[in-house]
This record gives sequence, C-alpha cells and structure tokens, in this order.
Amino acid sequence: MMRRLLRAAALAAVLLALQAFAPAPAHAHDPGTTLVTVGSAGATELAINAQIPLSRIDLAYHTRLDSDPGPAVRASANWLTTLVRDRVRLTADDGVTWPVTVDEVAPDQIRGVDTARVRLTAALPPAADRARSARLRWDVVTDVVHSHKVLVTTDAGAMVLLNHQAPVMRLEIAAPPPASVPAASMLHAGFEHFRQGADHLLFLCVIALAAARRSLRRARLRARVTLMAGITAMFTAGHSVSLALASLGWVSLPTRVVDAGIALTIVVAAAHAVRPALSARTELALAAAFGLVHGLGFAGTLQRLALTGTDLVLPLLGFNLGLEAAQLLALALIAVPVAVLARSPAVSVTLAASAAAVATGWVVERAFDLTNPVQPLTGMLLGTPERLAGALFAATAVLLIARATRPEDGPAAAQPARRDG
Amino acid sequence: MQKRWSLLACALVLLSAAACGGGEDKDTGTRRPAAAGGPPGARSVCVPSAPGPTATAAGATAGAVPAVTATQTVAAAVAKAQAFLGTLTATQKTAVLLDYAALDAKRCGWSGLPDGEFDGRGGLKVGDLGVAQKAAALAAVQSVLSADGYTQVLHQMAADDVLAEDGRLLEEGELGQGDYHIALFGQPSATQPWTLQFGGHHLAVHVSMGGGTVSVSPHFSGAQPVSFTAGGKTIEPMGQEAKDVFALFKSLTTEQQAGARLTGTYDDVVMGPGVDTGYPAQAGLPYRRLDAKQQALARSVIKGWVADGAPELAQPLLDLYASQLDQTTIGYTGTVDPKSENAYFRIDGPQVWIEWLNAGTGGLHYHTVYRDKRLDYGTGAG
Repeated sequence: MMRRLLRAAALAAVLLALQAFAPAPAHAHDPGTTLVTVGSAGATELAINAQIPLSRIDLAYHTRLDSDPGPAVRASANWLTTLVRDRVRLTADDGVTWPVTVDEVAPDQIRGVDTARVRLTAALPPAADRARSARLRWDVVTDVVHSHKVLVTTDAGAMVLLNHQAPVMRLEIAAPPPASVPAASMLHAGFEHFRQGADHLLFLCVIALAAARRSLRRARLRARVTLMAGITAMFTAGHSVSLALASLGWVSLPTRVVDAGIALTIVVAAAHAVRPALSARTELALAAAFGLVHGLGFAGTLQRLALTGTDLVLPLLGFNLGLEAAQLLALALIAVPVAVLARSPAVSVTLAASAAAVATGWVVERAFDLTNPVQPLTGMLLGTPERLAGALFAATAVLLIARATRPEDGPAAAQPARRDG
Repeated sequence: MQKRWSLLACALVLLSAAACGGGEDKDTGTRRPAAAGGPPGARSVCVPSAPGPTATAAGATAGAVPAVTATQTVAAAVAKAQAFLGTLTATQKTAVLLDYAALDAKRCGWSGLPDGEFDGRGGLKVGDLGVAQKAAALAAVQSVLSADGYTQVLHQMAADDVLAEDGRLLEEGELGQGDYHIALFGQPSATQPWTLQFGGHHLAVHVSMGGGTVSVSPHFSGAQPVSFTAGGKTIEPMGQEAKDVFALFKSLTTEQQAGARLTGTYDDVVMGPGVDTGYPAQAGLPYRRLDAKQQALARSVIKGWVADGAPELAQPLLDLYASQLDQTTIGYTGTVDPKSENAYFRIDGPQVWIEWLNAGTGGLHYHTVYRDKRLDYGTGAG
C-alpha cells in the first residue's frame, strides 16, 4: 500500500513539474524583451531585477551564451556583471549618480526563453530625507540593438517601455523613514518578512503537519492545539535569542550557511512529519533549536538598518511581534486543512515529500551555490500564506467530499497513521 | 475507494497550487526584497514609450494633412462596412464597434505576432464569423485597400495557413486564416472619422477616413514564408517590395553606402507595435544625393507600402510625401544581401517612415512597417 501511495505521490509531483517547466510553444518571432522590475528594498536601497534574453546579449556583444545557457552564464558571470554595471545608471535630480552594484547574475528562463537574471542594488544617498525622483538609464543590449525593448515595472505598478531612442525613465523615490526607526514600522517589517520568506512558511507547514499527525494517536483536539502552540512558542523563543544576537553583531555567519541551515531544518522536519517518533519534549527542544537557526535568517533585515545598542531594543521587539503575528495568522490559516489532511497518510506523505524536495533544492542551491532545480515550483506553492492555505483547503474539500460520499470508508480513515507507522 | 480519493487530494494539493501560482514571479527565495521579485510574464504588453532625449514627439513634428476628395472610396467603404455590420448579431456588433477616440485601444490592438503570442487584438476574429459574415468582413477590408494591397493581405493570410500546416512554429489553432481580427473604431460614416483595423500574424492594416480624415497607417506587413506554392502558382506576398528595396540598396555606390549606413543592430523594426512615439533622430543618406534611377526606386519603395491603401486615399499621401522628398533619407545596416538575417532598411521623411527587417527567428522572413509621424490612426500618434 505504501509503495502505491509513494508512486501516486511521485506521479503528482511529476505532473506539477511538467506544468511548471512546460515551455511556451516555440517562439515564432518575438526576439525577446528585457524585463526589469524596480522596487525599494528597505529604507536605503533600490532593488532592480532584470531578465535579459541570452540570445539578445549574444546578438549585441557577439557572445555565445545562448548555445549553452547554464554553464555559459555562470562562466561569464564576471563579464556580465561588468557589462550590466556599466550600462545601468541612476541619477538624482541634483545630478548625483548613485552607486549601482550587481549582486547576482544567474541563468534563468522566462516563458521558454533563456535569460540572464541580474539582481542589482542602488544605494540611496544618506541625505535622502524627502520624497524625490531620479532618472533610471538602461543601456544593456539597447546600446547596440536599436530595436530591442526593455519593459520596466515599478513597485507602484507603473510600466514603461525603454529602448535605444528612449533609454531614460523617471523613478519616484519614496521618502525613507526617519533615522530613529519606530517600532510600528518594524512591526510591519517583521510581518512582511515572514510573508516573503518562503522557507519560513514551508517550515511552519511541515511543523503543523507533524504536530497534527502526532496527536492523531491521541485524537484529542486539546492536546493537539497545546502541542502546536508549544512548538510555536519554543520556535519563537529560539529565534528571538538568535535574532537579538545576530542583530547586535555578536553572532555572524555567512548568509549562505544560514540559509542552507534553514532549508536543512525543513528537510529534517519533513522526515519527522512522515513518522512522528520523537517524544513531545524532544520535539519542543528541536523546535527551539530550529528557531535559533531561523532567527539568524530573520536578522538580515535588521542588520541592514545598522542599529546599535539600546536603539535596537524597540525595533527588535516590534520586528519580533510582527513576525509572530504573521506566523500565527499563517498558522491559523493552514491549521484546519493540515489537521484534516493529516488524517490521510497519502496526503501527508505527499505534502512532506514535496516540502522535503523543495527544501533539498534550497540546501543544494545555497550550500553549493548552484541553480535550484525546483525553484519554479516553490514560487507557485509558497508565494504567500494565503496561496498555500488555498491549495490546502482545496485538497481538504476533496477529502471531505470523499468521506461524505463514502461514509463506509469513514472508520478506516480515522486511524490511518497506525497502519503506516 | 478511500485511497483513490486520497490520491486525488494529493494531486489537487499540488495542481491547485500550481494553478494559482502560474505566471507569478519565480524569485521566491528567502529574503526577497519587497517588490523585487521576478518580472511579469510579458505576453502582450503595450505601454507608452518613455519620451527620451532623442525622441521626436510625433505631435510636434511639422507635418501636413492632405486635402481629401476621396468621395467614391469613402462612400463605397461606408457601404461595405455597414453591410458587414448588418450581418452581425447585437453582441457581435458591440464587440466590433469601438470608440474612434480610443487611441490606446488602437495602439495596443495590433502586433506582428500571431494570436498565440499576442492576445491584445480587439474586435471580432475571422474564425468566429459565419461564412456570410466573413465574406462581408473581407469585402469591407477590400473596400479600403487597393487591388495590390488586398491581394497582399490575402497572400499573407494564405502564408499563415502554410505555417499552420507546417506546425513547427506554434501549436495548432494559433496560426491560420481564422486568427485575423477586424475592428471598427467609430461608426462608418462619410462625414465623421472612423478607422478600420484588420490584422493578425504579420499584418496590421489601419485605414481611417470620413469627415476629411485620411490615413492608411500604421501598416505592418510581413511575409512568412517569403515564397510558397498554392494552386500550382508561386506566391511571394511581398515580392515586389523586396525587389525594389534590395535593388535600391544594391545600387548604392561605395560613397553612398557610407552615407546611408546606420549605427546599431536591428532584430526587429523600431517603430513596431507598442512603439508610437520616440522616432529615432533622422539619419542616413539624403534622397537628393541619389541619382535619377535610384530616386525612382526610392519613390517606388514608398509607393509599395502607401499604395496598399485605396488609391483615392493613398494618392494624396503619396503626393504629400513626394513634396517632402528633399527632407527624406534612406538608411541601412551595411548589408544588401536579401538573404542576410537582420538586414535592415529604413526610409525616413518628415512624415513617412518605412522600415524593413530580414527577421531571423523562425526562419528568414520579412517584417516591415509603414507609419506616418503625423497621421497614424487618423488621429495622429502623439
């Protein structure tokens, strides 16, 4: 029975992967557009993401990236970095040019077109104390290919088409927050940070699944809720400690290591969810340990503000509370469907296996600095807590309909964990 | 039974997530900065071009509006368009009749790409029309074009059928005769301006008339395959245009070539779909530096596009462009080989603008566009 379930789970995963990777039909003519998004990243930075079709880079600069996209882009990362850095300019109204750095160059695909994904950051001058505008000038590919189009989308939702004739657009820069960071804005920052961290969300989902599966044996609602709350509290305690330590700069680990560690906790938790064998006390301890690891990850946002000493206390508290609120809301969203889904071993295994697969992808990507083979999957599953909850609710509905239409299956379904374990 | 339902639930967990996640940004890493995710899946994008330092706003271009006496053409076109409307249901009529002043709907409703890659076309799709409706639609298109212009449209649509049968470019149902669209901007009228828009893969026809308005642009025309056989005859949808263009540029002396050479590389026309403002600064070889034979070829090239419109509408425009020839230039990218991928030619006058590209993607074929910097869409591009 287990083998059949696993085979079905594998089939479902393959179906999803096919949908995610299915390329657009061969491109008849569209030579490919450069897609750029511009948004503020924190108080002092502007984040620019670009997807540049490799074939257009080849056409413009006589390279051969498109013939072997992945390796060629990685091998040419330095050249691409210089290319883009020299051709993207941000100029303030007073004529001051803001420094632009290229943080990442990686191979990617958009609708079947091989691209170089380039992530840039522009540091805003420290004196920026009021809303103002700047001019973004884009000359990558368009400096040579006069017919190439660059579609820029801003976080305000504006879309502008740049090309060789019109390479410049205006950007409205929002006023940065005042020097002393109010706790309220950090509350929001913490809330948003959790929502944007796909790995934190996945971890929460797996932990909830483990708790639900575990308490099935007792089948008591109260015990289940208590355990879930306990785990959440221990996790919070763990990440509060490491968040404080990291924000103060007392503990400092490379981001890659921390991120790989976070992903690893998900793999472990997923394995545990399939077979919840640990005692409640060990599970709580594990949650605290995992919290310590995740806290180091949370610290990135705070570190960017470069706060010190007592200035840190209120922001830290606000950030933590915001994080916690987002976590509890997400838990509330997914708790019911997860609790129901956990009653079916097949669904539980599928969920845990998918989570483990995604997390393994992250571990590989982060630890070895490789391209994540399952990245397209994660965006779909884990874009927001609401999306994840929606998917889980849909699955729950099917299960419940199944039970309603087949009442004779009910008793068998109530005790599935025993047969698996 | 329970197991089977469980499997269904498994699949649903994954697939429903995929469904609501499709097209979202992929950049869902750990610490993704706000609003800095991946770009949108830009399937059919139409946004105004940002005015740049070199941009010449079309509205600011000194230009002229020719006087029109195209009464016969307008009367015939109004009759054919109204006959077409008469074949439609109320719902279809609502879909096909759009606001004349809706410039953005016109601008964003055409492309050189097939439906499978561009979903912005409005109006009614030929494939959704009944036999009589389709005949009436094509008759309306025929009434605003010259004989040559209409034949070219039919050949372009036939070429798309050839592509559809070939099956290598796009999936079934995304190419072919059925995937051309007709829209009317404004009620067909002799006294009030209206525009007929007809287009699909490699084709965008705009003809505006009524109340003294005259415009037969933007006109995007491509040819793929550039040559094919149908009914035992070899058909080259843009054969005459290709002959003239390459003859003109092959005739240039070394000195003329140096003057006509444009900077940059081109993988498409510049003033194509979605780009209505920001014409490049004028470059290339002035028309007056061509010899008499070359000048005749250049005029023939211009006629090849403008005279696709009905003669009574096209002639005043041709006369206007002829009066501006001493301010008109020709330019190219340095290759005169008809088979060379990305070979690019341009004719640039105070109002007339014609571009030719040997497109490479999907096999060598042609992308061309004719625009009037002042009179596009009947309302002007600015």
